[in-house]
Amino acid sequence: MTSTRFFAAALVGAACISLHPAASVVAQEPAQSGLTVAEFEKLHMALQPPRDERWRTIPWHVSILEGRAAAAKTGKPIFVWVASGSPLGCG
Amino acid sequence: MAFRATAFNDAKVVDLLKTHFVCVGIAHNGAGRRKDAEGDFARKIIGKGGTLQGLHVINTAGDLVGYVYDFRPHSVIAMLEKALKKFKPIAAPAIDFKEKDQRFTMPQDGLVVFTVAKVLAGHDPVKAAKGTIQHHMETAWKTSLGREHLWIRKDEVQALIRGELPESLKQRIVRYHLVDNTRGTPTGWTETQIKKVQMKLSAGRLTGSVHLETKDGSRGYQADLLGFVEAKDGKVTRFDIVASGQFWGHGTYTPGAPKGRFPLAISFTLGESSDSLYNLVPDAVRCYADYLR
Repeated sequence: MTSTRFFAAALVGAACISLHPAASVVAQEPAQSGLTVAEFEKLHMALQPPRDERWRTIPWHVSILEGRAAAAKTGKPIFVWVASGSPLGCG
Repeated sequence: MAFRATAFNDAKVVDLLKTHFVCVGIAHNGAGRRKDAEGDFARKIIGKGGTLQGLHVINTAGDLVGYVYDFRPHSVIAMLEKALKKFKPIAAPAIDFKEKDQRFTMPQDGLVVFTVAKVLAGHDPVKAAKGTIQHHMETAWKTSLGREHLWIRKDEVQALIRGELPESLKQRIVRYHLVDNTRGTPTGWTETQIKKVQMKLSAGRLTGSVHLETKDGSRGYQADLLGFVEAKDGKVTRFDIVASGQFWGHGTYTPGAPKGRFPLAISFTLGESSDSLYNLVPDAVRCYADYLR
């Protein structure tokens, strides 16, 4: 699907973006969800990271220069975890 | 995620790090690509241990004091203790960091949304023997939460406050955040891989469904979305969304997906600025130059 066709489809597909409640009556195919509110609540809660992860108790810096500044202030060495992709984020 | 489940899940390793070190986490292909002082300093370290990845101890000049690339806690402890004996603080002249690489800079007055993905079923049982490091790693691999941040621009925030869902934000969510990142950096979706996307925000409720699929059909995601986006006093106060559906296949850097179709759910939650990782740059930013378009 070309980008032009995609945007055309998106337009037809759902007036999609109902900007205000009053605008949602535009006669286009409405967006619907197969998820119920109960399923949403269950999944949203289940997908919150545990609060007691041990690695998260380490006060990580996401910037190496911020870490360097903190190390200069405290006189501590800098521990740097380097990965392919952010080690503190992805996966 | 393997380090989190092994070395960084060991009480002694964590205690050593919290007590004696300033701790930083960076991507060699993220910070290492920045065109600013952060990138310049990161490049002093990257590769010094012999590989692009691993656990380093450095001084404020970027000199390597210790290195290990080993998930076993005892190896990490040995490296840390040796590095502590060797380390000597040195003078650290200030580094000018006013000019930041804008690609990696959070949009001013924007929003951060935390996303979490999880494979709900389909992985084979863990095969490695219990009690071994391999068991910890395989378990982590198969139960991982794929974490990422979604950045929302100021103009998009203003649209959300008005009750609108901007096309640019919808595209960003679909292309870069409806992905399986539970085993590492995922592959996003190109515009031509979006077979169907319907998303509607009405009276604070977001509903929708998507069908994303590669041309050869080897990777795809068909999911429903439901969520709640609320604003009060000119601020977005809630951005809770869930996508849930069937995923199949894997990306270049995410092998090991369950066979066939498997259930994958992804949650979106407004980030808390008090979270120490709030300023983490989304992995998708380093992967896709057009992320914020």
